Amino acid sequence: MNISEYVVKKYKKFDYIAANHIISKSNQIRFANSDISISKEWNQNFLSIFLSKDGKTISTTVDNPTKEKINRVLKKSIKLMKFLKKNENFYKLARGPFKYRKSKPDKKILNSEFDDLDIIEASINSARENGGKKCAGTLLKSSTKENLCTSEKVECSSESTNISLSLRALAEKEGSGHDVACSSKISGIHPEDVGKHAGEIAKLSKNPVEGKKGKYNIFFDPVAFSDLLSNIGEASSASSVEAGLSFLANKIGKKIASKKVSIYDDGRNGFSSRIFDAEGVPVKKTCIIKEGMLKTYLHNTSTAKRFKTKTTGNAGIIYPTPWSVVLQPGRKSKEKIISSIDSGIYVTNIWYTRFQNYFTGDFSTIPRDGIFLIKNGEIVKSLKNIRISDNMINILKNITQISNHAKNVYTWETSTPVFTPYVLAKDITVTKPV
Amino acid sequence: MDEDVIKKIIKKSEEMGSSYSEVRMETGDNESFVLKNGILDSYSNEEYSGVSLRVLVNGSLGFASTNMLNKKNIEELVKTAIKIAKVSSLHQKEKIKLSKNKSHRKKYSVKEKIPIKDMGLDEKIKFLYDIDKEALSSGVKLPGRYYNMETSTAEKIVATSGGAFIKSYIPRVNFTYVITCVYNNKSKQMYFQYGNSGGWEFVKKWGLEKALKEEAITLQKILKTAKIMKMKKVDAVLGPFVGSIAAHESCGHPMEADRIMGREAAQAGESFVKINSIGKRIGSDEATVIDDPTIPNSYGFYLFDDEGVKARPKILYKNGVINEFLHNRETAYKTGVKSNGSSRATSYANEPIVRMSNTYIKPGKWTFEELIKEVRNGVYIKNFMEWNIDDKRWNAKYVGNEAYVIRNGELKGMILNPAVEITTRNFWSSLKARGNDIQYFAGTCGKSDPMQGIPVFFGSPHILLKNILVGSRK
Repeated sequence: MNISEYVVKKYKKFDYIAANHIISKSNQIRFANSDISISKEWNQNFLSIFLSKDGKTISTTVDNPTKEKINRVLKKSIKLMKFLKKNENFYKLARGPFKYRKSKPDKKILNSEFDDLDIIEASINSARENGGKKCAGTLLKSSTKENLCTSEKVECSSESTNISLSLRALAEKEGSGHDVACSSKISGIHPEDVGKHAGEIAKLSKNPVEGKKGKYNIFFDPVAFSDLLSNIGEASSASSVEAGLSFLANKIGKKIASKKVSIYDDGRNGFSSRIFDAEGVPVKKTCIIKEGMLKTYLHNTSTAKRFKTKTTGNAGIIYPTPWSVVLQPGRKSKEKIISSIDSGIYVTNIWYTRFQNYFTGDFSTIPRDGIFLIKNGEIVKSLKNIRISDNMINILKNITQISNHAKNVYTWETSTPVFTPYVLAKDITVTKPV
Repeated sequence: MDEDVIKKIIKKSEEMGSSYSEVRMETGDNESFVLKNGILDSYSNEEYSGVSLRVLVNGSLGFASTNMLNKKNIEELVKTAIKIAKVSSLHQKEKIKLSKNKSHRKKYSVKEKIPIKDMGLDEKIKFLYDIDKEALSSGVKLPGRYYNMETSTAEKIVATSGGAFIKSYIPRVNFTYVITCVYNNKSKQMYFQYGNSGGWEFVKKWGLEKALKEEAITLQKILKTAKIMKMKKVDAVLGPFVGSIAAHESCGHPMEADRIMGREAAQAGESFVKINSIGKRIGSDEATVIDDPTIPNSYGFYLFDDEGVKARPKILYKNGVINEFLHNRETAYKTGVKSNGSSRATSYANEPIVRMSNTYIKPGKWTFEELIKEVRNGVYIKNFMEWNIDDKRWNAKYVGNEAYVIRNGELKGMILNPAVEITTRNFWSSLKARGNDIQYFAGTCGKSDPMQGIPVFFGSPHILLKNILVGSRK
């Protein structure tokens, strides 16, 4: 009997109980100025427990769980239950059993030692060959085992692996470019391509001139658009909607985006993919926006009850969470889209996205690294010191083109991994400092 | 974990080739409550403990951490940290060296007048329900009310091969809210955070019942009365909340030496400040910004940093001149100085890096009334919601939430979403007068990879900026 089963079988007095035993190992190498800064390894072993009795709920974590520790923590929880108020937002846990896909961890990651420096060297060399002078970034590799058992006939386990590479190339005269790669398998990342793209942007972005404020066609690189798509994912959680933290609130069935826009949550593939959610419901593909129309929020069993729908397999038992947000590709190549732009700005990366009002979607974000003025389908200038100050719904409605290939992106800035193509949006407000 | 185990870890790592070893062991607990629209949406707690080892081998840093504190795993921890540092050293070109700082052996703690652990769970929950009732008693339509209260205690040991041995106990309390007000189909929001090191007495001091009610009334007043302001150059009095975020973003961050040296280039970015910028002017004589971890009961409080170096105040900008960077031992060595105790990690499981603590604009002599009277045609921006700054810390934006017109030295009607989009040099050069009324605000500063959110204070008095461009955000 594994430790999760032990907890659920021993503590039957709770109305609902879920125990998830998670063991993970991660390695990271950070580099800067084209040299290694530090190498790290983390080993974590913990048990995440959710308990409910008479409508009251507690979430707790036991570090390095032993039976003795678990029993001490759960005895304390039983005492604490007396003082809690009923959580009227909790309904129940999903009832199993369910059928699951098989885990497919990358054996190369599972069996690898600290031997990834060749990946970093390959990406740095490629960045230098293509115009970067100095490089900074991170290589992260991880493996995680989960054993979930709940009082609702759920018993499931998974083993997953992930790898991500981030490289920023810096060139002289204020040039810089950034690219990332992420996958559940080592074979899914191509370090030379990352270095090449970052190096090329760095070279092209040298000698930038001050940008001008105004309304522009903005052509987003996947790295840039990933930040906005991640925010759309967060806003699609039913919990964000209830808390007033979503610009998608009260818009189910309404047109909130251009007809070219279809957005899904699909945690089955790519970086950080998974088999089941925190209730044990199998992770699936859920359509959030279909051809511009908002179809659903992301739910667990309890939020689904409140919204009179079914769980989408996105539990967090308390907060439904997006797993991987997918923007459906269009038909044109990125080259064809660029060549169609009479006048616009190509934004390769953004950061520091902050909202004036989460409910309306008013926000601003700052382009960083290569920013390029496009005239008559060609890059004519490198720009600096601009800001996109607009509204999320406005941007979704103004999307005019989506390229034909989606890239899996996970960056330091994005909390949720995404699959996104290049995106062109019209009439976007650009401001600048004085 | 006792001192003997820590000594053994250091000894073993030295035997295996480490020229510097740093052990950080932490035991703590966290408790978190979320009240969403009047319902206790979540209660969670955790107890944790873990240990990490950072070593320097052949000029390369290796770091390993685990929450499995048995003999076998701790032996493995030492082997791993040494092994990965050795492998890195075969590829690393520039060897890392550390500044020589005095080693201390100290024990300190933050006292709790009302210990967090003495507060009953029912009392904490009742408190949340009570403040929500007060917010609703405003009569304002608040469809979104999200409150998150967190308490934590952390017992930490930092020990180094150089002989530092620092034991600390720091409890913290923290409360954040986001409330959404709707009026006439328009909405306005405010996010705000409170935090202190100390006990429950600070939760009482914050006066949340009154603060939330007033916030609700203010948001509705903005929706009812605030007018669009055309972009124009005016004099602006900025409230302490606005001044304090500028101290953090446009002074504290660009003065982090690791950022200046490029170590954070792929994440939090670089800095407009260069390694040879000490002594160069960045603003008016009024621009003095200090970072001080030793402020009692501050959210960013500590007396010794995570490399065991004694903390002290640092004057980052002094009378408008770039004066002193924030350093850890690695960056200090590179510039030929000693660490000024600015090395912090979010937890034992993170590497310590250069961080701010409590960063504030030095107060002046003006009263708030005198500052307002000084302005003929201008604005008073009391607080903000949206803000951001570029990765060199040059291009900043602050969008006011509660803001007023000033005409002939008097506060008049409200302005809707006044945006200040300004370069760091123009901000500090426009600073002409400082109030005598400093206030501190709690925040969680993000940096590093993996992201490390660390508790800090931002502080500022009311300040007067002359002739800056302000107008409602579009």
